[in-house]
Amino acid sequence: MDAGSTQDRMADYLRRHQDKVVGRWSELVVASSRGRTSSEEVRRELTDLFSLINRVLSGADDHAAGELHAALDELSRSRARDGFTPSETALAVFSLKDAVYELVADSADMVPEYLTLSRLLDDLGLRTFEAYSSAREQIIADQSAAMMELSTPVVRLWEGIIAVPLVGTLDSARTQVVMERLLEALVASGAAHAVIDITGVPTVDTEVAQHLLKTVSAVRLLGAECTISGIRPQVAQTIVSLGIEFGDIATKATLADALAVAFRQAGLTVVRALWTRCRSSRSGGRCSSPSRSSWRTRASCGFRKTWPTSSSPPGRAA
Amino acid sequence: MIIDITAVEIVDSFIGRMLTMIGSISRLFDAETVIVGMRPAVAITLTELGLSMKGVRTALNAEKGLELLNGRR
Repeated sequence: MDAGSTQDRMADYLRRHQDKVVGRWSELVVASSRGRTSSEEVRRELTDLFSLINRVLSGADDHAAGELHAALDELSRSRARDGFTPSETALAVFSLKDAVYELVADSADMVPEYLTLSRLLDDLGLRTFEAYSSAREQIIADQSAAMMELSTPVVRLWEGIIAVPLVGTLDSARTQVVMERLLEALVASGAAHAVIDITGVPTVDTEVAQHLLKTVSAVRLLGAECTISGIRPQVAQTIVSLGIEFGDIATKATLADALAVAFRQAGLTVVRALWTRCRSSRSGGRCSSPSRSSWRTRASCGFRKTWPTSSSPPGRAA
Repeated sequence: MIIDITAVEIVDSFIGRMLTMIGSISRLFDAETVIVGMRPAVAITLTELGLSMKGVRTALNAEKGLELLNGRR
């Protein structure tokens, strides 16, 4: 028995029982989709698929296979986006087997024909799965690209002082982006101090530390000073137990400490203004003083009054 | 001595070593070298190559480099 004639006979059989098969197929698919798609929609999709499968089986035209694959890819992609599981997506194809089997179960002479259809449907099921997973991968890639955009802001803390608040784990791709943004910001603003704040970095392992060190040495090559801030107690413990050496890179517990270090290196002093009392008086906060802030910074040659927390000299680990 | 590498767009390990060497040689003459105007891409390449240019001072631009040298005296 040659393959061509069994395929023809199966195509012929399916054409004759189209309504029954498609009806049963839709029922099975709707039952497995748990009410996420309407039965009319499923029926329309499956009718299209059914006619394409039929054309492929009968071997009437060469374009049928390509069209069928495109239709399946599209179906899998839309299912992947709508949050269907992989097995639900593949079942949409495999249910046709059940639907046909129920019809041909009684007639023993249809076995070769049924097996031909079964083999075709297995291939199609695999294809569905492949399209499904590539659609999912695409979604993940899009999301990580969007996250990369969001997660690397460079902020200006003061004239000549910029900061990068890092949130999330550092991998080599992200380090590259952070490094580029930071260095470009340094060149554009002419800042002499950079602060890398790692408060939002959950864990610091050897790899993350390696990336941090790389970024710091790149910043130093440009001629700017770099401070790492936001080292939480647990992170400090991990760093010490892993034996990571930060060398002569200044590390601080909080961003405020790092800012104080940068202020001192830039020769800036923070002093409390004497006239701030008027803010707490009856004026209700609408103070007419030249500056709204109760803290002012001004350049000075010496350190007459220093920041309360900057007791350790710059360039030393806290 | 100020070495301005603003126009240098691509570096390799040879250039990195050469700059470090110039720095250490000039220190023998009791002169200080400051490399100024390094581009971000150059800095990234040098760090990727593992050259941290120890002993060579760097500044963002020629103005800051002069400040650095003046501050030393």
